Amino acid sequence: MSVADPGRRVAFVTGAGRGIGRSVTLLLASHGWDVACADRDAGEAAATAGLVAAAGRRSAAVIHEVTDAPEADTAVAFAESELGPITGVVTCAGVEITGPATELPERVVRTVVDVNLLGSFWTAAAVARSAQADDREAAMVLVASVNGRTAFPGQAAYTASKGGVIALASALAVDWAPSGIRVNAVAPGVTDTAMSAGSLGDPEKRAALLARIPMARPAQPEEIAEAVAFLLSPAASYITGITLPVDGGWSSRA
Amino acid sequence: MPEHDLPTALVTGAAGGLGFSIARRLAERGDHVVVADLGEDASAARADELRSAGFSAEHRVLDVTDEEQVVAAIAEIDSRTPLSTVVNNAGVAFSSPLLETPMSRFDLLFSVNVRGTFLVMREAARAMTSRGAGSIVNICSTSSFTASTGPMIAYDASKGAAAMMTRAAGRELARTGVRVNGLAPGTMDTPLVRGLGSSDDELAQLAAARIPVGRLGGTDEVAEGAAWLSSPAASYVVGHILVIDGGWLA
Repeated sequence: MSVADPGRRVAFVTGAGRGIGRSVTLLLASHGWDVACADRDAGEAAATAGLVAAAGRRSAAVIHEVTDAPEADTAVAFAESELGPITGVVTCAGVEITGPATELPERVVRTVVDVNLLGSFWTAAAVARSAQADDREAAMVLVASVNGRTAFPGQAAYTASKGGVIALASALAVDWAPSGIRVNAVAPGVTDTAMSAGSLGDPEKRAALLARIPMARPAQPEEIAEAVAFLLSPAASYITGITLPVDGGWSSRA
Repeated sequence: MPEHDLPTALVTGAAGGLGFSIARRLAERGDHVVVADLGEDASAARADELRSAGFSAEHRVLDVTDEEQVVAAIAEIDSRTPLSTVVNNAGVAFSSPLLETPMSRFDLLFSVNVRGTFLVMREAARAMTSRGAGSIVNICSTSSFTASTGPMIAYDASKGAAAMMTRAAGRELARTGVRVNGLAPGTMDTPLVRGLGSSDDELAQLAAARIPVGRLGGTDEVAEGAAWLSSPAASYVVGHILVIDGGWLA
């Protein structure tokens, strides 16, 4: 975490308005990154961008719906016009909707895959187009989930989408290695965010979840952000195509 | 030995290419480093090198296959300067086809890479769990997950075992405050890798053909992984083997 990089660093973070995305944005700012804070919610994007500015880094609020593929290039172009060339990407925008595969409406399944998997795809590809156009190195982290490799009951759509994110990180890493773009995934375990409030807030569900975590506690979003910041940094210069679980030992696997 | 109150890191096999890079990186972040290796001269020279650069270091002759020696060494070091990081880096590697591998060679690999790692991990954990804090990093390999391109069946098996011990110990110790993780380097430019018999041309061809980033890894790049895993930034990472391979396994 301590390799100094003299160059300007600009990150594009989706889902920056809340939860893990917000923590990632603030940690990157504290490490010297300028951050384009992308979120579908204009108010939340602006609020996070304000915090980055208050921390002394440049920021831009980017109102962006990650499922809107044609708009990805526009959002990236806007961010670069505000902050300069992007060298870091973190795709945090995500949605978790559970239910039996036999009963989930098509619309719901498509939304989960659209946001979690395809949203990461469009964002990563838009930045890669920009970076490759001027031969610029970059690093990307796609936020997956331990559920991308370990199934839970009722999570077929979510698990399939996050498993797809893990495969996508490998595929993009191989495709873009020759142009100096590293792509990795971070797979958070149970994390103390608004998205997990439903399960962590219910004492019975909380106990059941914690019983399965070797460290017997949920992650703080800052702990996920640390892994993201490491993978984006020059210290991870030979790391590409991996998935880094930050899960308190849940998966105990590579 | 100068008095200090620095966090202390023990690195085994620290006279070697990767081991010394890790020792140096941990010294750079402010650890007092115990440079442990088989030979007195080599380990002393490496510790001297760190001290000359302004870092805090000592050396220790250590054969990780010798139970009495490991037990005594870790107890002595820890009583004097409490261990916060232990990197299990000592390892041996050689190509050897199944049909031509004498059991003595198989036993050597397992004695160092598996039994030695287990033993150092056990003693480090005994010291650290009493304080409820510490970090252990076991050097595994991409061969923990995929068979080597050359015939290295016994080596591959030993690294597979190292990876599973890492997961199991990570899980078992998760609630004690001691974190156990691993590193899986891909093909690095080290004497150990060159000792496997490939020429410079062959290594360059391997990099171009099989490693997505098109080059071998630097030991300094792998050392960064050891530094991160053993830092507070990795506080929720346990039982994981961090692959540093330029995309080889992707």
